[in-house]
Amino acid sequence: MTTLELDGVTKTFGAPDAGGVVAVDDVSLTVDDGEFLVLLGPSGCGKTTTLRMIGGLETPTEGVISFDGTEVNEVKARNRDVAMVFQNFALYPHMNVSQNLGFGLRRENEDRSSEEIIDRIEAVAEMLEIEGLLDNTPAALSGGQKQRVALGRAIIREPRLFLFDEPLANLDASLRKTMRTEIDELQSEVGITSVYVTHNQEEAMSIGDKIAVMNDGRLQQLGTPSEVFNEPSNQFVAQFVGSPDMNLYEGTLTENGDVYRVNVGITEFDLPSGLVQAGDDVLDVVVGFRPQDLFQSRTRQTGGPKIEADLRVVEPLGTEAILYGETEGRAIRATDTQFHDLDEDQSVTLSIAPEHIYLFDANTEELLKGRLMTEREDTGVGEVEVRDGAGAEVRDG
Amino acid sequence: MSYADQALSSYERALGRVPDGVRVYLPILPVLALVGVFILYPIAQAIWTSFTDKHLLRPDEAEFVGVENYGEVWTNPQIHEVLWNTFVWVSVGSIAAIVIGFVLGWLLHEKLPYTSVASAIVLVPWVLPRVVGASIWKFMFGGSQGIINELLVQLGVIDDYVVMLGSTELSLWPPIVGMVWRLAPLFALLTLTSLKGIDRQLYEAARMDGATPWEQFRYVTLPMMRYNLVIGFLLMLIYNIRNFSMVWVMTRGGPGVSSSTLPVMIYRAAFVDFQVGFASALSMLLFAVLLVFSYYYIQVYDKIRGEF
Ligand SMILES: Nc1ncnc2c1ncn2[C@@H]1O[C@H](COP(=O)(O)OP(=O)(O)O)[C@@H](O)[C@H]1O
Ligand SMILES: [Mg+2]
Repeated sequence: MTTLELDGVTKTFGAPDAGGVVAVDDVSLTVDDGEFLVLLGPSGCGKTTTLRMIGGLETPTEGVISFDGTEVNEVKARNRDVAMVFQNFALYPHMNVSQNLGFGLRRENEDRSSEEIIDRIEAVAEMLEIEGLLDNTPAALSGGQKQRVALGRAIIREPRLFLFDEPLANLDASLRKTMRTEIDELQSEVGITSVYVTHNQEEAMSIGDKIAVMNDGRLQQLGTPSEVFNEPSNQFVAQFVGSPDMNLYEGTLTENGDVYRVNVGITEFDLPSGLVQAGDDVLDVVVGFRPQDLFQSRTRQTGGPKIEADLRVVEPLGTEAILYGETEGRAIRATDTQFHDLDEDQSVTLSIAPEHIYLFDANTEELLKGRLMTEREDTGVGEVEVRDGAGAEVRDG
Repeated sequence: MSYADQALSSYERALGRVPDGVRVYLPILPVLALVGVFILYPIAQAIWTSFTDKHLLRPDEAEFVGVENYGEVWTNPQIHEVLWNTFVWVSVGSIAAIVIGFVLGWLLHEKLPYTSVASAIVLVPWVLPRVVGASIWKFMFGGSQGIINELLVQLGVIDDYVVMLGSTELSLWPPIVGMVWRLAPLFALLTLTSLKGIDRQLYEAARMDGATPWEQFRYVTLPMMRYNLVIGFLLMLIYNIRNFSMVWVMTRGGPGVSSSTLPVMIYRAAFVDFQVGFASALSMLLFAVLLVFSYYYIQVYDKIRGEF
C-alpha cells in the first residue's frame, strides 16, 4: 500500500549541452494509495523512461521520487519492492511457468519454504486461470498466456507498486480488450497502486482512475478520464484524447454584452460569458468540436450553431458512422447513428450544443472553455440547459 | 493462359514414378558422392590399413595381419604415458581455455570499450598460423634466452633458468600453455556472442524480481548460455585432442615421450618409424574418442535447435 510521488523529475540521456535528450522534463505527480494511474502520450514522449525511473531501472537526473514520503532515488530496483510487466513479457525462457512465477518470491527470501512458494504459485495460477500451464516453458505459450504469466509474476509478490509498460501492445485486438478488463479487475481486487503506460487513448480512458497525459517529456495534464476528455488543459490533450480527432478551427472571440461572440469562419455563434474564462475583449481562439458532439440537425436539436457541410465519405462502424465532410474548404468530422440514408456528396446540416464546444487560446493553446455535460444527454433530444459558471460540473460519461 | 503450360514435362513425369523413399535421396546424391570420395573412402582405407602390416619403406607388400596392430597398441610400452599425457593435455587444456576464455568474453561484453576492436585483437592467437604461434611459444619458453624463464626468475618463482622444454617432468606444460593461448580466444568469442544474444530485458525483469547481480548471473546468464557453453566445451575437447602442431613444433613430443599426445605418437609411428599399420590402429583409438565427442556435440546442437 503505497502513495507514489514524483517531484520535479527530469531525465536527460547524454550530456545536456552536448546534444543530450531530455526524455522526461520536470514531471510532478502523485498517485494515491490503490489508485490506477495511466501515463498516456505519443510514442517517444517519455512514458517508459518515467516508469523505469519509478521502478529504479533508471536514475532521475533531477527531482525526487518517493514512496509514502520516503525518497527512493538511491534505492536499487531490487530493493524497491516494485513489480513491472514488460511490453514483450520478458519471461525467463529457460524456466517453466511455475519457476517464472516463483523466481521473485525466492529472491525476496531464500529461506522461504518451498511449500509456501508452491501454495502462492498455485493461488496465483488459479486466479489467472493458468493452472494447467505451470510446467510449460514460455516458448510453448500463446501471447495471451504469456501475458497472464507476466501478470502473475508481478502480483505473486504482492509488491508496493505495479508498473505496466504497454502490456497489451503485443496482443491482438480482441485479446487486448479482454486483458484490459482483466487487468482492471485484478488491480481493483488486489488494490495495489499501479502505473500503466500506453499510447492508446481508448485503453487509457477505459482502465485508468487517473490519466497523466504527457508530450515531449512534459506532463500536460493529470486528471480523471472525464476531466481529461471534457476539460483538456490544452489543445494537445484535446486532440490526443478522443477518437476520431477533434475538429479544430481558428477564430476570434469578441465580448458583446453578457455574451461572447465567436466567429470561426465556417459559423458564428454566441456563448454566455459565464462559460468562458477569458478576460480580454478580442482574442484569437481555436474552437474545437468533438465529432461525437456534432449531430445532423434532422436527428437532434442542439440549440447551438449550425454548419452546412458537403459529405465526402461515410464510414460505417456498425451502429454509427463517421461522416467526413467539407465546409467552406475546411474538413469536418462527425459521428452519427443516422447514416443509412445518407449519400456521399449530399449536404448535411450539422449542429453542436454550445456547452459542448471547446475553446482554446490560439496563442498559448490553453483551454478557455471545456465541455459541459448536460441532462439532455441522457434523454436525447430536449431543451438545452446551460449551467452557470465555468466550474465545469462533470459527471462520468 | 493455357493449361498446356502447366502440364508436367516428361522429366517431371519420370521423377514422379520414382518411389518417394528413393526420390528424397536424389537431390543429395552429388553431396553424397563427394562425402564418399573425400571422407568415407579415406576412413575405410585407414580402417583397412590398421589390419595390415603396411610399412612406408615397402608400401606395396602390406599383408593382412588381423588384430595384431591392436594387440601391439595394448602392449606398447609408451602407450600408457601417451594416453595419460593426452588426458592431461585435453582436460587441463580445455578447462583452462574455458575458464580464461569465459572471463575474457565476459570482460569484452561487460567491461571493455570498443568491443569489436577488442575482439579482433583477442582473436589474433586463433588466426595466427599454428606453426607461427607455436614457434613464438617455443622461443619464449627457451632455456637460455626465453622470456618466461626470465619472468619467473624476476618474480622469484624459480632461482635459475630451467630448461622446461627439455625436461621429462615439465615438457608437457609449455605446449599446454601455448594451446590455451590459442583456444581461449575462440571460447571468449563464443562467450561474447552468447552473452550478446541474451535479451537485456531479462536482466531488468530479474532486477525487478529482486535478483542481485550474482543471482542474475547465476539464474539468467548461466542457464541462458548453457548450451553454448557445452558446445564450446566439446569444441575445446575436439580441438585439443586433435592438436599436433603445438606439441610437435615445441618439443617433438620429447624428451622421450614425455610430451607426446596421441596425435604426436601417431605421427611418429607413421612418419618416423614408417609403421603405417600400427599408426592406423592408433588412429582408430583417436577416431573412437572423437566419435564420442562428436556424438554429444550433435546431440547438444539438436537440442539447441529444438529449444529456439
Ligand atoms: N537509454 C536511452 N538512451 C538515450 N535516449 C533514450 C534512452 N531511453 C529513451 N531515450 C529517449 O528518450 C525519449 C523518451 O523515450 P521513452 O521513454 O522510451 O518514450 P515512450 O515510452 O513514451 O515511447 C525518446 O526520445 C528516446 O529516444
Ligand atoms: Mg515506451
